[in-house]
Formats: sequence, structure tokens, C-alpha cells
Amino acid sequence: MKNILILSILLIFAFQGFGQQVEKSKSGLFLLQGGTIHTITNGTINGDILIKDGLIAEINDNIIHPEARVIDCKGLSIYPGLIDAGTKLGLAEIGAVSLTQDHDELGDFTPHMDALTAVNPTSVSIPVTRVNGITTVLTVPSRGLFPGTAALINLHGYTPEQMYAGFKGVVMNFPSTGRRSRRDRRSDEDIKKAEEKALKSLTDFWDKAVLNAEIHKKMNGQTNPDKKYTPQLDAMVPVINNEAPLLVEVNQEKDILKALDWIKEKKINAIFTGVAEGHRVADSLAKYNIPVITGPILSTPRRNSDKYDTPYASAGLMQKAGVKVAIRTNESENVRNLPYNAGFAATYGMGVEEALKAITIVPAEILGVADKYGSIERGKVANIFITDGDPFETKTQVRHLFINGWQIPLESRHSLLHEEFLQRSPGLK
Amino acid sequence: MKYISTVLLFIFSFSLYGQNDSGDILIKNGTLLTITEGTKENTDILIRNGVIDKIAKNIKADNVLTIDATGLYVMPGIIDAHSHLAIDAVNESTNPVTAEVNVGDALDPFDIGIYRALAGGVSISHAMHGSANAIGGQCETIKHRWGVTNPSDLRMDGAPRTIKFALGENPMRVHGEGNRISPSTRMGVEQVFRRAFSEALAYMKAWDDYKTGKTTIPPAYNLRMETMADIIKGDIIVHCHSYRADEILMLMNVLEDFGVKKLCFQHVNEGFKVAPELAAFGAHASVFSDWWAYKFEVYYSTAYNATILTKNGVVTSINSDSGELIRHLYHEAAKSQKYGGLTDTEALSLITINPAKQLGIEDRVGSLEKGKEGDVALFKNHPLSIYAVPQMTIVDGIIRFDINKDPSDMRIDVDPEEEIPAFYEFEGHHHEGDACMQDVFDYFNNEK
Amino acid sequence: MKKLLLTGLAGLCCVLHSTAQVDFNELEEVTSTYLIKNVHFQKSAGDSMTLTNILVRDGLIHKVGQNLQPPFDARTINADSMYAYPSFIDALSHAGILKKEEGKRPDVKFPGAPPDDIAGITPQNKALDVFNPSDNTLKDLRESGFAIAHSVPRGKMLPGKGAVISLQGNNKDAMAIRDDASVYFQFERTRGLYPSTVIGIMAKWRDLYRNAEIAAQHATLYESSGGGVARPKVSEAIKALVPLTNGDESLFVQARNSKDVFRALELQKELGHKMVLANIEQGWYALDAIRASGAPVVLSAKLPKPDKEKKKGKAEKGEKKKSDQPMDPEKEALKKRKAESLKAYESQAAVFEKAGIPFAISMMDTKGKDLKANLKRMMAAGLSEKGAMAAMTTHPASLLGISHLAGSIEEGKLANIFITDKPYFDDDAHIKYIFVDGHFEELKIKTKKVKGKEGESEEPADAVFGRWAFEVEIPGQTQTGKIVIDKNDGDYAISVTGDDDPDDVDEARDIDISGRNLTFTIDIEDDGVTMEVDFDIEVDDDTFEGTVSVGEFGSFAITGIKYNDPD
Repeated sequence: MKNILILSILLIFAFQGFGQQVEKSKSGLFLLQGGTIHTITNGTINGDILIKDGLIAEINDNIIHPEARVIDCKGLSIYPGLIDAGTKLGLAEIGAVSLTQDHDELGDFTPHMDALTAVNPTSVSIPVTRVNGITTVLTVPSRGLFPGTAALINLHGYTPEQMYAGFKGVVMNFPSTGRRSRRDRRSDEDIKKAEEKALKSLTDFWDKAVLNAEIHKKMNGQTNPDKKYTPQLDAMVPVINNEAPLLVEVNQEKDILKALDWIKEKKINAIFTGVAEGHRVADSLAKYNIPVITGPILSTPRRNSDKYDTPYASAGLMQKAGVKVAIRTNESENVRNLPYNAGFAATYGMGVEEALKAITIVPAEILGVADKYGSIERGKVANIFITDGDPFETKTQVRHLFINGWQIPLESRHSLLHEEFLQRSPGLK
Repeated sequence: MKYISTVLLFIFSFSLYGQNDSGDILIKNGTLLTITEGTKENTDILIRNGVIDKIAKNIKADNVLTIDATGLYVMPGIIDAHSHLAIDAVNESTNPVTAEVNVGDALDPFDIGIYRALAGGVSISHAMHGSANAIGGQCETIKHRWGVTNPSDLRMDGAPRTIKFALGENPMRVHGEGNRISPSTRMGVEQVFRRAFSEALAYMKAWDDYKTGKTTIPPAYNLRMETMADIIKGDIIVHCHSYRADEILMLMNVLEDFGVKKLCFQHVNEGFKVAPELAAFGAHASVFSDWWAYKFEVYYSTAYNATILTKNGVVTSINSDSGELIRHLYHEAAKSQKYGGLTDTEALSLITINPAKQLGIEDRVGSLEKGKEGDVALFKNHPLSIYAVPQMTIVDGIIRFDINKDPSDMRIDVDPEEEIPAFYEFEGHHHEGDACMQDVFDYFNNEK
Repeated sequence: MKKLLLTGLAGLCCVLHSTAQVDFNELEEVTSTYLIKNVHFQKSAGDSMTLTNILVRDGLIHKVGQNLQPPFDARTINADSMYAYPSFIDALSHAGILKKEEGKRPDVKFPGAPPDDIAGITPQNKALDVFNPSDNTLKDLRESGFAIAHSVPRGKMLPGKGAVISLQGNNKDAMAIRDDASVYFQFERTRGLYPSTVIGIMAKWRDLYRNAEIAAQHATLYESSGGGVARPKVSEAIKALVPLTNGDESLFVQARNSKDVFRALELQKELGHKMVLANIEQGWYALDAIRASGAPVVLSAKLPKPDKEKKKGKAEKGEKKKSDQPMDPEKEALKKRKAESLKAYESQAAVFEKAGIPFAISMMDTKGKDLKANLKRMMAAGLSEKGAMAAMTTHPASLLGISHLAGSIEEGKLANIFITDKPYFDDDAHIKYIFVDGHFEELKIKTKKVKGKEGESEEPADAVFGRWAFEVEIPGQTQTGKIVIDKNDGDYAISVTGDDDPDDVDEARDIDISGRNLTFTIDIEDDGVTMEVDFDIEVDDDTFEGTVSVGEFGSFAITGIKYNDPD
């Protein structure tokens, strides 16, 4: 088994570059001329956009800039890059090959595992994702009570640092009372016991983290060699000091309510993720102003008694109740389906405008990067994609793509294999 | 609120299905996407006794339940050529060859997945054995007659028999890695087929000799060999789980050697690489719209697979293999427009007439034509649009899903002891629970 | 039919006497002749009660009549104002057959072709071979009104052949009324070995059955050939199935849910063997198909547990808080559907009765003490009293081919009679006397609280509370431990620990204390499997005795002694 895995890894490295990107990305001055600009924050306008130094330098009618490369956008639609606030992109390469999976460290308490460290900038899934207009993703570790620290990355760059988009957040999996799958035949009692045990160890860890944060305060930012090395607890300091939000993964109704009580008691600034049954407790989420990153929308109803469209409708129900809702895919290789997840939410009650916000400005706001991302505004980072139509519509094609002001070729393994094999040569014989 | 369902509503909705349980229904003024005969605006379709009786404008029929489809799209019921819906067992994974087992023996009319599929316009699915074995079990083509309680009532009577084969990692993992018995390589997988077919030929001869009086003692009966013999005789369509180009070519060579012609590859992620060979053999392909990278053998995949195959003349369908995807196959088919620009009819064929051909039922379903069975799906907005919403799904002329009569709890069989219906963390993604490998997990867990 | 031990029955007692060694620890029976005097008796299910005397002699009902005089050797049972019923017949269970410890999975090189015995395919096995007359289940059944059980071996797909067994005695061969009464089949997979799924089981059955047919054909050829025909080489399993293919035996298929019922019917339609559908819990979906098949039916005595009102006391306060809020309409709807489903299970017997399909009842998943409550739930859902009684007596008798021996109180039949102080279905009726195979026993009447009826519960005796050391007799070993029984503000708490692991404390639930009787249940966990352990104890000042039932493993005797607090 191990040998086969290692062999597969070798193969991956051997083939790295194959089916990736042939053309190089370009940087510089770009003038997007004559498109319909969906700014998200300031309505839809017709005009030009000047991209300079990686930023949106100007939005105006008839911009003239002799040095800029002109991109003709007549008849096309311009959108801010889409943001998926919950993925494993860059941390996972091949599902069934465990040694290509970097999102699950061992142990319950590993908040110091930094996702950005393990992001593979040349993951084959990255070009596959971005050519569909997704420019920015939160990549999230997943196993244990505190699986690690998620990182927001742009889908372009040759080092994790180049990709880093300015947000990191500690992730917590709130103890679940759900069943893992239909094959999970634990008794209700066992589930309850497991939950109680998890809650207890959660509280123990938290108390230690609080004490550690107090010690840090007394250290006044100085290092002290006498201080015990406690990286797990140190990673919690910004959360405990309310300087950074905690990403709390929680899905079932009663778990969400319990998590609400828990964060209120601990006075934590939290973002809830998953939140599959958020529609059942939408009023409470709204009341306590908990932002939510929900999804996948394209998922099966979680209870056999649920209405068939519950997962499609849940995001819209929460949003209408006043909850700030972003939509995620929780995917790795198919993060590219983000616009379709939002599209289904739009169709089943959320509406096109709100659903589009849920994958642009709302996640940017929730993650505290709305000054840079999530809309087309002067001074923001030039993460932009240009389409021949509604980005939710399945058949819509992306015509141009910019990340950090770089023009990205619309190439991926999938498109390159298409080109090579549509008319194979030699054909038969 | 959406959750005002009551038991009364539930019972009411079932009795409502009974309104037209003779299978008579008239659907008026829809935009008909016939698949085989173009688009027909403002047209009526009359179904009598479960069969399409007439397609025309202004049909008049008395005493027939009439549906106003003004502003709606009317298409043939969607067909899924690969699912594991409505069966209690998927993999008899103990042996590399289990041709004798039949998932049709394990039908589960209470699987809520049937209703969810109907709510996505799907009227027929191919309930398949899993991919643990090189020669897995026989499969069952079922009609989504939600509400029946006799498992046999799900069967599409008269549909050709089909069987699941599997190549590559799954049989290698289960038998080679798991049990330390051959096959543990793709070479070994080929030899499993050659041996099984050769033994079947010997078995057939032994029975021929007995029946023609050359021998006097009846040979031992072997249901596994009986089934292999039926494949050789052409009575069973082979549906083969496959990914890599080399193994796809291998199976075509083996089947050619034994004179087996009816073949449809399943998943076939690298089918695009050997599309000309598939077309030349006459093999069909049933693919995912965009799944890839969940294991090594699908790392070199492309979402353009369906397009490349179609344009090379291979009869291609898009399937679900998932209780999640089956709910929006219309959307999965639309991805062939994004990835390769298929026309509306080509894209819709991927989930209607083409899977019908792959299951050998294309003369009965898969398009809106007079004389075909009354399986119809009604959509608000074009089914290939992201804004499409299935409104009603009709099977054999009987309404089995109606968005306007859809209480939240559609279960038929309710556990009288379960506190409240369980919440599952599982989202329905492929890489979280490969449906093709269902039942194998128990088995591995037991290993330890 | 050939296999019925028709003639031996009358002589059975004689055989026993002649072989018995003298054991002066046991008191011998003085007589085997009894006169039951002035009893209201029901001759057969549905008959009206009439006053009579019944003379039992040598294990048989010798005479029934109003003017019987006691013979000189008769013991007279004065049954004034009591009620006599024909004893019940359990149509399918594992009575007397203890569960085998499931050992480690044997090493099998090819899991796709394991040896038959490892794969659970042993139709040649016989229930009698593994029957244990001292299993407490037999006592439990006897004291609940049963005299006969159809007992089948435990196992997987084809565990073996069942036997019809008299519930009285200590010699299993003498207890057997019919050997080879059935070939027992269940949709029970063998984990990790073929057949490991229901589809594997169905395919395997077709294969086995067809080969049994061919084996029969081959054997005939071989026997009549006088040489020149190859010797048949078939497995024991296939050989054991040949009588089934000839129609001499019938297959008892355990089919709890409707899908199993349909699957069994499909196999029968295809292969044509004689079949009984047994231990059905959820058969109403298949009613038409069952009727069309003509297959005899055994319904399970088991019913789903009704929704318990949550534990009293502490929990109640919490509940009240909740009830202030309006009930979520979705949850209310779910609750309603659950209640409807429960009703469907309870109505099954009535539905079959109305459809004119006769049925027997199986005790496979039900304890004797729960039978009456479940029958009453079925009756509340529409089953007639006559139907209930017939399902316990005449129908199983005819199903098992013993109508001439059992099922009614008639001259010449086995003396299988139970006598109650009030009509059987009265809530506070008790079985006072039982005759099983002519053997008389007087039962101690436990004044137990009937569940759900507060009024009839006695105040708990003080003797109950305190610390107890207990011993449970399990064949081959004795388990010891401690039980602590506490009382707080009318709320009881019982904790149980085993001496093998004093740190593992199990808190009891469903505690019911009435006078000196108490029942409670603990859940013990083993390898992820939770098992219910039911205690039923009667306290006598400083000692107690009773039974412990452990799921399918059977029930065992428990004794206890009060001990003082260490501090």
C-alpha cells in the first residue's frame, strides 16, 4: 500500500507541469474597454477599467492610456474575482492518495498547523479552478477539534507568500452530534458520550489557552526564554484577545445552538462555517450577528425527512432572516463549481444579486479583506474576470482573467487535454 | 414557512397521485424538447395508459387529468445510466468474479433518494452493482415509481439485463491489496476476465453435451457460469467501470476474443484518449460531467470528456453515481456546453436518449415520441439553465413528483423508534464516499 | 410426517422413570394424575368459557367433563373461579439454544469461497444437537403459558433444521416432539466472507437449491444404475437440502421486514420450494403478495417500543420549560408520523386477521413476560381475542404438524394447560398453575406493578434499598458484582458494577419497584455493540433472587446478599 502511494507521488512530480499552463501570465498596464461592469457594491455600469500595479487604478467612461494593453470588452460582462471561503485547494491533490493530502494533521489540538505552509502553488487544481473565475479561496485544514489555521490565498503565484491574500483564521470543529454517514451505527448514547467528552476536552484546552494568553499579555510582546514552548496555545492568543475571529465548523441545529451558547460564554468573535441547518436557527444567528460561511449548496439533504431542496434553500432562508451569508464549496479539485453552488442558491430563494454577493463582497467582509477584494472599486486589488454572460449560467464562458493585476492565460489541464485530444493525431492507426 | 407539513398533507399527496394512477394525463401548451424531433412550441402531449398517445397542438380529451404547462419546458424523463439508488446491497466484494449476484434482488422502494431524484426530473436509473470486483453483479434498470412498496414494482420490466465489470484500482485494491489474492495489477485484471469467459465456455459445453444426450449425468449447476454464458450469448449488456485508456483498450480486446459486443464503459475518464477506438468498437461511454482527481487513475482527466467523445461519434451519457448529482443531472449535462460547447439537443441527449441506448431501452423511452412510455419532466426555465426548476415528474403517465404538492417529509417507511430522523454529516461528495465502493468498507474494517 | 414421534408420547413418562437414577436431593413426584376441579375452561381458541373438570393422566388430557370423580391416585387441584387455557405454542425461536460467542474470524484464504460451515451454510445441523434443557428461556416461556416451542439453531444463512420441543424436561431427546421440523433460513450475511450481502445470499440459495435438485437426480441414476454412473460427490449441505426439493420439508424463512418478505416470496416463486414466512414484524406492505403465495405465516410477537415519557423527576422540570414554547410544527409532524408508524406495527395482526390469513406467533425476539402486553396492544389495534388465542395455539399447532397433539384442551391431547386466577387478558390476571407435558407446577404469583398504571403499584419495601453483592450463574462461569439501590425524593437510582472491573459503573434505567419486586435495565457495551440487560429480582430481607436476561444470549439466575457499607 505504502509503496503504491509513494510511487504515485513520484509520478506526480515526474509529470508536474504536464497539462498545466503553457502560456505565461503577463503583468503590466491593462485597459478593459467597454464592458458591462458588475461592481457588486456600486451597481452595474458601462465603462472602462484601468489596471495598474496590480490594482484597479481607475473606473471611468472612455479612459485613455497609450501604454496600456487594451482588452476589448464590448458585449462582455466584468465581475470581481469570486471568493470561495471554504476549500481544501492547494492542500489536496489526489483524493485517494493520502500522502498527497495535507489538510489533516494528527491530534485534536493543532491550531498552530498553518495551512499556508502546505499550499502547493503548482497544484494542478489551481488553474482548473481559476479559469472559471474563482480568484481567491480560503484553504482550510479539517481534522480534530482544532485542525489548524486557515489561509486566504489568491490563485496565482509561485510561492505561498505570493499567493497570501491577507487573512488567517484558527479553525474549530465544534463537537458534533450528527452521524458521519448512513454506515455510522453508533447508538444515540454513544454519540452523546463522544460529544460530552469532546466538549470537556474543548473546555480544558480553552482554559489553558486563556491562561497562556494572560501570560503573553504580561510579557508585553517581549520574548522570554523561560516561557514554556506552547505553540498550540500561542496560536490561540489572537482569538482569545479578540484580535482574530474563530472559524467554527458546525452543522446540526442543536449543535449550532450549543455553539452559540459556547461562544457567548467565552466572548469570542466567531464565524460559523458549514451551518447546514442554519435555516432552522436563522433568527438566533441573526440576533447574535454571527456571520456564516455555508455550503456546499449542491449537497444532499442531511435528514431523510428533510425537504428535497433544503440544501438549495438554506442559504437564502438565512440571508432573508438577516444573517450575513457567504457561500462555499468545501471542495478541493472542484472548487470551480462555486458559481453553480451560488446559482442554485439564487434559484431556490436567495436571488441572483444576493447570491453573487455571497461569493464576492460578503466573504471579503467576513474575512476582513473587503478593503482589497470582493468588488470592483478603485484602489482594490485587480482580481477580475470577464465573461460572455451571466457567471451563474452553466454555459457562460470566461474570456479574460486577472489576479493581482496579472493577466492569466485561460489554460488548465482540462483545456489542454481537450485541445490535444478533440481530434487526436494519429487517430485510428 | 416551508415546514408546515403535516401527516394529513402527506397522505393527501399520495391519494392525489392516485388521481391518475391509470396513467392518463394531458399536458397542455408546453415547450416540448422532444430530443429526437426538435423543439415544439405550444404543444400538447397526451398520455394514455402510461404511453404517449399523441403529440399535437390543441389536443382535446375528456375525463383526463389535464396539466397546464404554459411557460414550462417539457422534456422526456431524465435517465441516469449509473446509480446505486434504491438498493440495499452494492458490492458482494468477497470474490473477483460474482456474476451470479444481482442487485435487483436487493431493491429498496423506501429509499428517499428515489424521491429526490424525481425532484430532479429523473424517471429512470440504472441501479448498479459496485466496482469492487472485476466481474461484479448484475444490475437493474428501475423506474422511479415512488410510493410503491413492493420492490419488484420498481423494475422496468422487459429492460435488457446488464452486468457490472470493473477495471483498475478498485478491484486491485479490494482483492490484491485487501485479500492478497489476484488481481493486484491491471495485468491480473485482464486474466480474471479471460479465465471467467473460458470457464463459461467449458460449462456451456458440459451442459450442451448433457442436453444432447452425449452425457447422462447432469453437470453441477453454477449460477455464476450461467450468467457468464448469458453474456457470451449476447443476452446481457456489459457496463464496465473504467478509467485509464490502456485498460479500456484491454477490455475491448478481451470481449472481441469472446465475441461479446454489447459494451458500455462507465466513468471512462480517459475515454477521450481512445475515443476513435471506442467508436470503432461501437462501445458506449457513460461519464461524469466534471469529477476528477479523487484518485490517481482520474488525475489526467478533463471535463471536456463528454464533448470529445460525442464529437468522435461515441454514444455518450452523463451519469451521477451519486445520490447528490442525480438530483441535478440537467445541470451536469449543461456543463458539456461550458466544456466544449455542445448544442442544446446534444447536451440533453446525454441524459435522455443516449443513456436509453446504453441500457437498451431507447425504443421505449428517452425522447418524446408517440408510442414511447409516458415518462416526462416539466421544468420552469430551460433545463440547461442554472435557473431551471423541475416542476413535475411523470412516470408511466403517473405524477410521481409535483413541486406544488411536496410536503417536507416524503418518507414512506418511518422508523417507529427513532427519536427524530438522524442528521448526517455526509454532504454527498464523491471523494467522501465512493458509492461504487459501498459495502466494501465494512469488509475492510472487519479485516483488522 | 413420518418423523413424528406419534406413538412414543404416552410412554414418554415411563421411559423417563425407568432411566432416572435416584437422586435423594430431588423430591420425586408422587403422582402423574391430576384432577383440575371446577375450572372455567376454553377448549379451543374463541370457545366460550364453560365450567368443567379436567383429568390429566400420564401426560395426556385423559378426560374432560363436569362429573369427573378423582381416581385414587389423583392429586386434586382446586380451581374454583379459575380459568384453564390450552398452553401456547411458540412458532419460532431459539428457545434452549444459547448464543455462541463469536470468535475471531477464521483465516480463510479465499474469502469468496469459504468452507460451508464458516460461511454459515449448515442445513445439516440440528437444533437438538445444540439444545440445552437448562436454558432459563424455557422456564420464562413455561411461566408465560407456553408448553411447546419450535426452536431453530442460531447462525447465518442456513443455520440448520428446527425441532418442535416440549418445554418440560431435562433430557433433550425426550423433549423433542418433532426433529427435522423445518429448514431454517435467514437473510443473515457473513461479514467479509461469501455470501457477505443479501444479493450474495439470494444467489447462493439459487445455486444450492438447483444443485440439490441435480443431486437428487444424480443419486437416483446412481442407485438404479448398478455401476457405470459416477458416484455423486455433493456436500453435506446440499445433501441436507434434498428433502426440501422433494417437498418433504419446508423452509422457514425469517423475514422481519417487508423487503425480506418480498425477497423470500420471489425465491419461492422461482424455485418452488415449500416455505413458511416467519417472525414477520412488518408484513402489511406485502399482504397481497403473501395471500397470493399461500405461504403460511408466523408473525413476530415483538412490537416497537412506544414513545416513553421521559424519565420522571429531574427531566420533568426541563420538559416543562420547553412546553412553554410552542411546539415546532415540523417536529410535531415528525412525531405524528412516528406514532402512525407505531400504529401500523401494532395493527399488523389485525390486518392479517381481517384479510383472512391465519398466522402463528413467534417469540424469537420477545420475552415471555412481554407477550401479554404486546398481544393486548395488537388487540387494542383491532385483533380479536379469538384471533390472538388461535395465533398462540391452534394455528402454530397446525403449522408445525402437531394439531393432533396440542393447541386445545381435548381428550387425548398432551396435557398442556395453564390456569389463571382471572381471565388471561385481564390486566391483573396471573398464571397460577401450569401443566406442561403433564408436569404440574404451581407458580409463585408476583405482585408486580403493571406498567403505566400507577394505582396498582405497591410502595417499595425498605428491604429493597441498600448494597447488594450478587452472583449470576452463566454456564461455565459465575459472575459476581455489586448492586447499589438508592432512593432520593421518590426517585430511584440503581448502579451495577461487575467485580471484574469495579470502575465500570452502569446506571440502571426503567427502574420499577413495587413492594419487594424490582425490575430495571442496564445497557452494557461490548465492542461497539450495546446490549440490554434486564434484571427481575424479588427481595427477601437480606437476600434476593431472580433472573437476568441478556439480549439473545438468554436469561440466567441471579442471587444476592445484602452487605454492610464499608464505612
